[in-house]
Amino acid sequence: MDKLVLMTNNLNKQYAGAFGLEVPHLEFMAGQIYAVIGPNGAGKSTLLNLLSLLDAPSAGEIFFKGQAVTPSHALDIRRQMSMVMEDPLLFHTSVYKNIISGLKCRLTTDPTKWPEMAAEVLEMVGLSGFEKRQAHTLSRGETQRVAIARALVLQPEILFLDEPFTNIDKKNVALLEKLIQTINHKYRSTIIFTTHDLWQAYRLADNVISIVAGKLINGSLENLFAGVVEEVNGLQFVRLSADVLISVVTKERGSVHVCIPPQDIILSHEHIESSARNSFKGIVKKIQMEAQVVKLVINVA
Amino acid sequence: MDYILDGLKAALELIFTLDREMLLIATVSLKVSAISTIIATLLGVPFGFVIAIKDFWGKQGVITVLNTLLALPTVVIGLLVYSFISRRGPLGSMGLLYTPWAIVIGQIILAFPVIAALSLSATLGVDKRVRKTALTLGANRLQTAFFVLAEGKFAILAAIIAGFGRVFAEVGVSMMLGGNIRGFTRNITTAIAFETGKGEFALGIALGTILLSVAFLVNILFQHLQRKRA
Repeated sequence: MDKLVLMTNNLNKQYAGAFGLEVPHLEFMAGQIYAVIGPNGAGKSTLLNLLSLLDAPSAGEIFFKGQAVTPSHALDIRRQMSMVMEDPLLFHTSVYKNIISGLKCRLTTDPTKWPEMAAEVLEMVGLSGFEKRQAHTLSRGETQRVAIARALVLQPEILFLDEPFTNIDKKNVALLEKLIQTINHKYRSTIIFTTHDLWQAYRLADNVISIVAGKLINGSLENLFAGVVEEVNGLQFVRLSADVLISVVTKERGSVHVCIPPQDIILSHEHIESSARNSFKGIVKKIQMEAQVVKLVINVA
Repeated sequence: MDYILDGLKAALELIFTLDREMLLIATVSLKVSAISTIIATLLGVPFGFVIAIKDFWGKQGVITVLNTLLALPTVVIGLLVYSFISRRGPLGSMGLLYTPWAIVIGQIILAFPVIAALSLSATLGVDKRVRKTALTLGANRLQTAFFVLAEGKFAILAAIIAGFGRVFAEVGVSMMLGGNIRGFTRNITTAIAFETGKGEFALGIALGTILLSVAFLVNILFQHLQRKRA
């Protein structure tokens, strides 16, 4: 199953008056789940729009199964993917007609099979028997699940979900997390979704892609801080605030982001004698248990 | 006052006995207006749609011209078309003047701006996410256009009905280009003008009642669709 399904090469999208998105290289393997995380406005949706061929890049290339995407066959490739938008829209008609709208565009399947196919995907999203309901009478959570079913019925190679967890309540978040895993297992679709929630990304995805200000970040977005590079006596530091300096080794200058992997943090009541250059004394303000990690808020300033 | 009351009485009689002359005139009106509305729809809806979705140089100018044409007087259209299809005109040899087709041509010019301008605003009123949603479902350009039009269908229908209402009630084009020939180009509005000129109120009032009824129905339908859109 380790087949490359999607790859980007020096992808770049520029907007007038705003920072652009720069993605030197990304690879997506068939059948895996990918989470794209980053703060608001980091370029997550822009990346999804480029990858799903809804938007054209300013420069760079996208390869689908090893073949470079060109305008002449972009439609064919686009038809092997589907996306559910952040605030999904259902057409003003019945749930059933919504579900089959993508099938109608393709006409690659036998129309007599559509009712059966619709029933299957509706069952998967937990909305069996909803065919005749009018789409605009559904709740937010139901609307989203119908939108997912509408994408799913196309059996896409890649399913994109843009911020699927925003705008829905807790109960639906749990349902949706389970659904994403079920889809991935049952259809072996590659799933690429964006989220703000770091822990959710790690819980659900095989791979996490972090974006900040239009750039890919190596490592994760845990403990991400913004600061300025300074040099004192030949040693480099990033100043996070008036009192906090982190020792670093970098070629970067000016404003930067620093991230500290949680597995590299040691907590101790006593001062530790070690070669580690970054050691801070602080007071634990808050302890929060997450699935596999512990979130601590420590005041070191 | 008596002659008005007599006219009303006679008119009711004509309506309830389904007077042949009256029906003939009403049929001409309906047929001609229906044909011109259909053609104006085929031209106006795509035109309004394209203007709405495309960005091009001079777009605002086109919209301004379109909105100005909404107020185009029927007699000006009559004059314009007349100059083209009269014997001395460039299309004179086609012998269109004083035929129903002459009225159709004039009415298309009358209905087109109405249907195009309202289709334009109908398209602009469709949720912007419809286009993107269609693309995510694998729609090509034409299919995407159909998704957008389908979402705006009530407003588009309202545009078509407004166009029909406009041509059904006009008199200038029909009179100047149709010539009010009995059983051929005489429609409700030209007949009313003609009968009134003769001092015959009965048929005029009967036809006026039909005209008002149709206008009333059209407006009810129009408002119903406008509400559905909202």
